Amino acid sequence: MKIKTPAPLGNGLAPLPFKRRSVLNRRAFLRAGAIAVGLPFLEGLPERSAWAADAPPVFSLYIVAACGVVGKKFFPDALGAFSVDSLAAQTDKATSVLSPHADRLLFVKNINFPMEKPTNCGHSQGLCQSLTAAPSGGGGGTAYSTGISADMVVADAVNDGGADPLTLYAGNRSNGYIAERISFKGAGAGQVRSADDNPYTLYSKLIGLTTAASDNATAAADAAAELLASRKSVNDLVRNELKQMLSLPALSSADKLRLEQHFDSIRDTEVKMSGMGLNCTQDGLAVSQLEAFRSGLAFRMDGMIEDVAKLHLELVALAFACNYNRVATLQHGDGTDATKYPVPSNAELNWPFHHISHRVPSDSSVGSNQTAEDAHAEIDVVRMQTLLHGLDHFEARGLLDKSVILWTNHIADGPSHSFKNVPTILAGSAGGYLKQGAYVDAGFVTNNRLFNTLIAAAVRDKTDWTSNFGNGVDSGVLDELLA
Amino acid sequence: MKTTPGAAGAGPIGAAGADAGEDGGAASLGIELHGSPQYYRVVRLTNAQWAQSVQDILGLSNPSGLEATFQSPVAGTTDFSNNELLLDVNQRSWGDFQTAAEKLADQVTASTSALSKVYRGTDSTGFIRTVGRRAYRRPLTAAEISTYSELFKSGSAMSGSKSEFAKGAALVIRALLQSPNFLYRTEFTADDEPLNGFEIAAKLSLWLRGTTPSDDLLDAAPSLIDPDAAAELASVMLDEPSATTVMRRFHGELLHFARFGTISKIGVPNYNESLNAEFEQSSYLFFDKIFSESLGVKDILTTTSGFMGPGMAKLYGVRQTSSGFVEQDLGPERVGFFSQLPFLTLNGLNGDPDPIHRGASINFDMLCASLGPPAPQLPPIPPLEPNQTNRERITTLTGGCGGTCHNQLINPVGFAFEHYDGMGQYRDTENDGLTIDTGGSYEFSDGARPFADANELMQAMADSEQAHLCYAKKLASFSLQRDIVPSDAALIAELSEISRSDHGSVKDVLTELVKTDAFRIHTPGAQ
Repeated sequence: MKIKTPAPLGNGLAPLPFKRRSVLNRRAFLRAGAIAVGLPFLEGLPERSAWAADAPPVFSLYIVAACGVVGKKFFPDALGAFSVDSLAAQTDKATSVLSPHADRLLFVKNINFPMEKPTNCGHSQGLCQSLTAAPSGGGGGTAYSTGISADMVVADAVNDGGADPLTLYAGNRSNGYIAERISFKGAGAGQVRSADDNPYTLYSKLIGLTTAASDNATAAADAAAELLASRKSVNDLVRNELKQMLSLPALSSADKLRLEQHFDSIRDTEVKMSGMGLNCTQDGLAVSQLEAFRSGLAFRMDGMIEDVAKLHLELVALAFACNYNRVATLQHGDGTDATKYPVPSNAELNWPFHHISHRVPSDSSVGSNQTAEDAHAEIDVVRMQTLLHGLDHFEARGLLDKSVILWTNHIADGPSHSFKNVPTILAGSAGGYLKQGAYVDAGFVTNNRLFNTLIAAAVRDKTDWTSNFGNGVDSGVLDELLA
Repeated sequence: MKTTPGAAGAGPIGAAGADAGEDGGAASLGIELHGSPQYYRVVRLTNAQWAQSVQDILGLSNPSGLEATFQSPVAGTTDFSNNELLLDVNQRSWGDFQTAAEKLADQVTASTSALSKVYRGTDSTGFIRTVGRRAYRRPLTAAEISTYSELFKSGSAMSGSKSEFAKGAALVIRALLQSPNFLYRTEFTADDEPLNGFEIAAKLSLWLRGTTPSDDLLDAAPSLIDPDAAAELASVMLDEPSATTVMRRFHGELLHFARFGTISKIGVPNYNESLNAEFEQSSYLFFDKIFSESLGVKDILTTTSGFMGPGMAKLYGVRQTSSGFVEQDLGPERVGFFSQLPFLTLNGLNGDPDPIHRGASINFDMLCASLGPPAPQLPPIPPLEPNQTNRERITTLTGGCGGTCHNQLINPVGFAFEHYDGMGQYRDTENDGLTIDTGGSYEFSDGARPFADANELMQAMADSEQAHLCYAKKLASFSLQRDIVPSDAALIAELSEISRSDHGSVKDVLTELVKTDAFRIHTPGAQ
């Protein structure tokens, strides 16, 4: 039976694919779009070119969604190759929504988290394992990871100067129970990285707002050079002050680490126009929606989460196209997500997603309400529509063949909170490294093998991480995923 | 009183009493103390402190709002978001501060009038001394003045149509606002020595005023090394409106007011989502009054006064003529904050009471009880059967899974509120006339106390040592911006005794805290 198609959420976003633009020179970039693009964005471009270097870069986006999927209505029934038409024909499966990009997709069955099963709150423990392939410590609101997450490993290897990855969040940070929990600096409490929930934050960094564009290209270049020189002066002053502080004998080891982190965060970057990508423009961005969040994100539980996720995905595509960063994560939903999705089967229930996933209107994890299961399947379709929106933007910016996008979940399904056969979608070939247009069985391996493969795809160099990331069973890449 | 700082860790629940022994009193304190404080000497300003500080340093007429897109601290990993563990500078936040500093410098040097609000004169050295002292929260050294003078010269020579003074000032402001001396509140005084007057001034001002010290306070700062002078200044600050604003953050995070916005009811006719904002605002008003009128924990637990908007007034059955918020006496059936609508409705399962969450919340937030994480597989709450009370239903449900947590801690507290349904409405009977049993007993740290209903439970809590210890611990954690651990046991016991005294107010507790070594002497971290 075909899953009911949910109504579009919100006011809808910019239709795609958007019109491809010509190669930008710096001046054209400064004038692109309705909003003047300023110098901070250009200054932020890393030295390395995305396209000029001998080894083309691979961009990595890891998405972790919430509360599981309805397994029997998610992936195709049969393993093996699929095409645009064959995937589109499976209208009773949520992933059929992605059929326009079927030849850039790889569905993976039987990927497990390291922990056999939850020992307390499965949501928080699942989040902590989703990108770390390491068991969770603690539980509930204080859960933490026992290892570094893959986005940090990849960013350290592929970003200029090892710059940190983008860390984004679509959900209600005020829910107060389990907010951001997927990106970790390392093992132990206090290592989780803060995420940006307001898309305007990244948008403002990308477009730059401090300096108006100039019609005079030479004058603009001179102004940019002068701004960079003055920043260098300020940075030098700050570095000297940090050095003086670091020399104080009273400092603890923790103080020194904190100040050293500050010191290492200071960057003197140069304008490198040759590093700009062909599709580094504002075209296709939902600018009016982004501008609406200028004064803050008042998050609502009415399905707004999908609009926020779409905006994040648009901006990640832009950030990658401009070589602003090569790695990003997006946590899509709270640990106990309270969104009341406006899908047909939830019209009468009006339950928050967490309860729908449990099939019972409470925190109890064992329910059997069939209407709730139907609603969950419809929510899966909505989330695939959001992913499709992102893939469209990646495609429009010419990024799909240069990227790998992972879509996974913090548990396999709602009622069981299982850590086995966690849904795994890969989009993009990572420069021809990954198999495409197929649904494969990984064979109940732990997700350390998945990340060995994804790190190898991004780094293209054999490291300890490509063999032994995380804490799972066995080591090395997954041959089933390779082209 | 001198406390004995020591290693971080956790202390067990012990017998009643507050005697601080060699172990810092951990073994004899009535609540557990967990945490991993690092005792940082460099604690970054919170986003709110940064915003108010730049407004005051630069004489801005209105808030800049720039902090709205700053990196936020990770939610939920510490009791409060101002904890030292969360306040560092990383790549992301460095970019935030750089961009904001450049924007503000550009803004306040765009016109002579704007720049005159930062500094009235036109001499570079005077500018550096004056604005630098506000930013660094201490006078600049001669070497620092020299460095900034060179920077001023460099800025003056930059291109652009502004005056040389404005361009020099702009570059200096950019540097000052990115300096670690501005971004971090520092405590560099040697171990075992009292913080110097400027460190005390900064600590008090950023804490109770939420901003950098004023010029007047900096003038008086050297005298603050005297504990009595510092306590006197704290008393003055505590009566200022800014302190009420700061304490809103404390109570809002302590009792999770942000969760009111997530309330959702199904099939409850007298609920609509517009009530959520009323619940939040009325809660803030309740605690504004507690703080500003020098009330304390006993009042939180036992007052019959509450605030309400129009929607809440209908639910309370109170005639309200104003469209805004009013304070009303709610009568003897509603004793304390936890018998009022916001808490009861948040912790209601649609129209039914939710004794599990009511009990767990009070145990966590007001009694600092140690409850483990929830079980991995929670059974569904079964339908209420004929001739079965909600209490009987929950008792049966949790009988096999909770052990001590449910049977001795969560359920007794939650059942005390069974007279209030999921919308906080008082009911005499339930399920077609069944009698409601709200009685129970709770094993407080200083002994078991029986109670007949929520009113008696609140009074028992107000009389107990444990509620005051818990509040003192949370208040100290927020005020000192760190985890509270067993070595703080004597401090917590002392603050708790003040809270528990006849008229112990929140302000009294805070004033006492300023006098303690925990506030005045930096606790060394691990080398």
